[in-house]
Amino acid sequence: MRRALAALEAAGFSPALPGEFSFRAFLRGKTDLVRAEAVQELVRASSDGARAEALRRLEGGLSRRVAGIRAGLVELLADAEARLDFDEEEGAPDGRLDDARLESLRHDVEDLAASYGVGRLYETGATVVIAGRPNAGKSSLFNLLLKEERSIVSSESGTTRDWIEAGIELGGLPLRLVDTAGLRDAEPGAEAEGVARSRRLAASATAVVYVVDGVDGLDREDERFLESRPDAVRVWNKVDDARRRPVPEGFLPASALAGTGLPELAAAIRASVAADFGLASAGGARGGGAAGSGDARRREALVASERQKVLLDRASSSLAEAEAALRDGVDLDALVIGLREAADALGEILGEVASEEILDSIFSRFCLGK
Amino acid sequence: MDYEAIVVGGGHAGIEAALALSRLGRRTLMVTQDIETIGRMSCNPSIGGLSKGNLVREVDALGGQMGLLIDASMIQYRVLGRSRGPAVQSPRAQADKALYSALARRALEAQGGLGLYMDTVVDVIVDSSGGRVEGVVTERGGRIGCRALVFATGTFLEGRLFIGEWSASGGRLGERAAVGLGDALRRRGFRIHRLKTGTPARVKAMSLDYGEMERQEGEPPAPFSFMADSVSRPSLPCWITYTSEDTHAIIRSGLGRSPLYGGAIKGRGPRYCPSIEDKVVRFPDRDRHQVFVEPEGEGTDEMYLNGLSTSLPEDVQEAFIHTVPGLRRAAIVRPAYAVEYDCLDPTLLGASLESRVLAGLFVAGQANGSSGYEEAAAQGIVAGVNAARFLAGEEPVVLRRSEAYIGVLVDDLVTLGADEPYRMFTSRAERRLSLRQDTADARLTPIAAAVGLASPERLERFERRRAGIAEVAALLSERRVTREDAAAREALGPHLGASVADALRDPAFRGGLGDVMPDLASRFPSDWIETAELDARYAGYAQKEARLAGRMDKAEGLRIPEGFDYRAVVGLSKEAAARLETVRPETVGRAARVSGVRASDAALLFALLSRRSRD
Repeated sequence: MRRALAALEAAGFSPALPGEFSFRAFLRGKTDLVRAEAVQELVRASSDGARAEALRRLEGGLSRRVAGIRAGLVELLADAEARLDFDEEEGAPDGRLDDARLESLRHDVEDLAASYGVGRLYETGATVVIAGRPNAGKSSLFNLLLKEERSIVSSESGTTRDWIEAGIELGGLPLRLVDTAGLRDAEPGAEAEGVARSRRLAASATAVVYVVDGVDGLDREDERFLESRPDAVRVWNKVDDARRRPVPEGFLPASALAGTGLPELAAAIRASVAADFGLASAGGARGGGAAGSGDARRREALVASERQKVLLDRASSSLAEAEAALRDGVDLDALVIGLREAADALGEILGEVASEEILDSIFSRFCLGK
Repeated sequence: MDYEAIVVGGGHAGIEAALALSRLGRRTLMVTQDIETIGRMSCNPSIGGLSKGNLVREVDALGGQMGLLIDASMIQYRVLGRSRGPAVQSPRAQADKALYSALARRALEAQGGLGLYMDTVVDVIVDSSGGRVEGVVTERGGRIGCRALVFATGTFLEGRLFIGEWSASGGRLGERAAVGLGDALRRRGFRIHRLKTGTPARVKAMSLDYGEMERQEGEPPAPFSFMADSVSRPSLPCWITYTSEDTHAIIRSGLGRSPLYGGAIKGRGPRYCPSIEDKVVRFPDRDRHQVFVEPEGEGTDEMYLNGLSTSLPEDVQEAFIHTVPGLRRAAIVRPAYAVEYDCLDPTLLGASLESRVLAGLFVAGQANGSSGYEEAAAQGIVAGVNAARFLAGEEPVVLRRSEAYIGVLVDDLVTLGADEPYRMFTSRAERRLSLRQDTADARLTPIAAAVGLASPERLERFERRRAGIAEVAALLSERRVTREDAAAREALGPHLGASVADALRDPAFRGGLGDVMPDLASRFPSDWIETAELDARYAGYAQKEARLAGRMDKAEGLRIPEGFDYRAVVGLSKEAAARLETVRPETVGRAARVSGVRASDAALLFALLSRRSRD
């Protein structure tokens, strides 16, 4: 592989930028790019989870899934092509193409495409920003989540002038946890700069944990922020304080000092991240423990590159088109294009060609010809 | 030089090659073992069918003979694949075999500048350099000189027939094989491999019980050739019957005496045309197989048992045939047999069908590992045209895969080779929707005109049809769907205000054109309307298909220089270099399709050559 790449470079190629596959069209052929990509990620992988995922893909997990779906599709195509290449009288299958099979293939492709989020998350990680007014207890929560003292904690408001971040693993998901300067309409100066930056960070974060001082309660500042980020995980801090006000609806009661409410918070963060990456939140709902099992595990990171995702999306939309065409009574010769396009797209993930394969499938399954 | 060109073989490839050469003004001689067997249909008595009908139409559009021959000899006409979609549907006709053959011979005899000679070619004469054809040596020691040679030897090259334990040299039952030529070519460095095919028994029509079979009628006949508006031919019925478990039991019990299963036959047979013993063995769950009983002609009492091809011994054949309803008392006139024959490795040919081993030698038809009359004719006309262009020192005509089934056929053969007898399938074509049988003239007649194979009459007809179709298309685009239309046809409701051309894309509106624009039928021939209608109906899908296939166009256009040194390409895999050195594809697109060439190899070539072509 490396040798081939070196040779390509010698021939005047520059390595492709991430996501740049202008040469794909021509390459559509015979290499298994899934594995090549996994190698690349293995090198880049930052967390153990990411590394394990890249290794698994290297072993062919994704290739196997795609190949499995594609085999089903080739079989369906063979059904269609046998009808197109042999007349009824030569023994070709008759009647309509099986729309249930078509639909179930599309679901398989969509399932696989949905795993893109997990893969992307493993590759890039998610950013979770802890925001809130000064002194709401952001840094204490941050530290609690980190389970180590890495943020400067002080009872003075505005101590955390800039942002501090750390990588943590939450329920198997790699996260970048960011503690920000307190939100406040500050005087112009260093602190104001920090506030502006924390707003920007919060705006671009995968998930936001918004901390409110349960003793002070909500003010206009809080409300303004929560309007701008309605998906924020809301924390009602300092619930161990006797002076605290009742917990409003939608807020998680917590005490950074006493360390209460943490599992619920971790679960909520995980669910928020999962939602953003289009993942099932089953794992997260069980709280910040080990990676979810069942559905979540089945969907474990598989599709990690933009290219794979694009091709899977193309496959599923082609299949959807073919389904619609079948429903509308479009002639077989025309609707088969959707199937071919889908098979092409899946083949492109694996790097395979179809035509001869379809004929093989036809002849092994149907008794054709006079 | 005695002749400018010699064509060896008078079958379907040889006929087209010889006619094309002489029509292009080349003094040509056809050498055949038997003048009486010119244009013989060795196997099934029909021409056309799915994708094959398209080939016939394409050969005709190029100025070939096959369409005219079947139009004048058909005894039943049907359009196959109607229920599958108009883009793949294609005509097929049962032929009167004797008449077809006689008409073919008459066409050759009537052709100016074409000689016929009865002899057997046993070797080629090569110039002193050893790289160029100079003539042929015949069995009786004759030497005939030529500058271009077309081999169209069919199954006769070292042909061997098998029926059960019996085996003998032969090209067809009762006809001698061409012995010696295969070995001579082997000595000259041609790679040769063995293929196998077979044919079913012929039975006496009067010995059949028609009450036990289903009758299958034809449709009103229509012409294959673009040169005719209509055909007037008789329509004879075919008959359908089925094998049973009794049949299969007899076949199974005879397998031990089968040359195919006993190992006497080494050549590989076609999967798409399996012998009945293959069907029984490979699909044991099937309790019956269909048999079509087809007339071999009007003036003969022989019937062809389509579906019962076999190489089992004659007593077994008779026994199992007699278990089939309608055939219980069938008198066998000719037994079924298998034939094994030499074919030249087509990957040693260029896309022009010229040999790279010997300049001036062109090969066409079954000798290239194809099967079928239509596939043979298609290669025959390509070989004939390119042999003529070779003589004139002109660039060969290479049809693109996106342009014609002929292009797909030739490209597949010379790129992939033929491990089994190659038959055309619509699924082999990336641009199937653009290769409809009714557009063969639009696609290829301009090429025939440029080459010089289109007669003035053909061009005149072509222009008229093209203009007419364009006129209908314009009317379809101009005509808007009105409230009255929508009231009359519910399917038009959603298309109010749209053009009829757009409404035609809706499957719900199928077959409704005549109601909305009834005047069309009185103003234009139905085939013009149909073509314009299908063009409109498939416009979106054809575009999509073009987009899908378009990815290969760039590589297709990138030429690999002659004599390109693959071994010198750093990074090219050894296997790819070896395969490419053998196949010598003309373009990177073809190189990418060669087996053993990986995507990275193709990418490397693409990079190297596109950089070179920029420099």
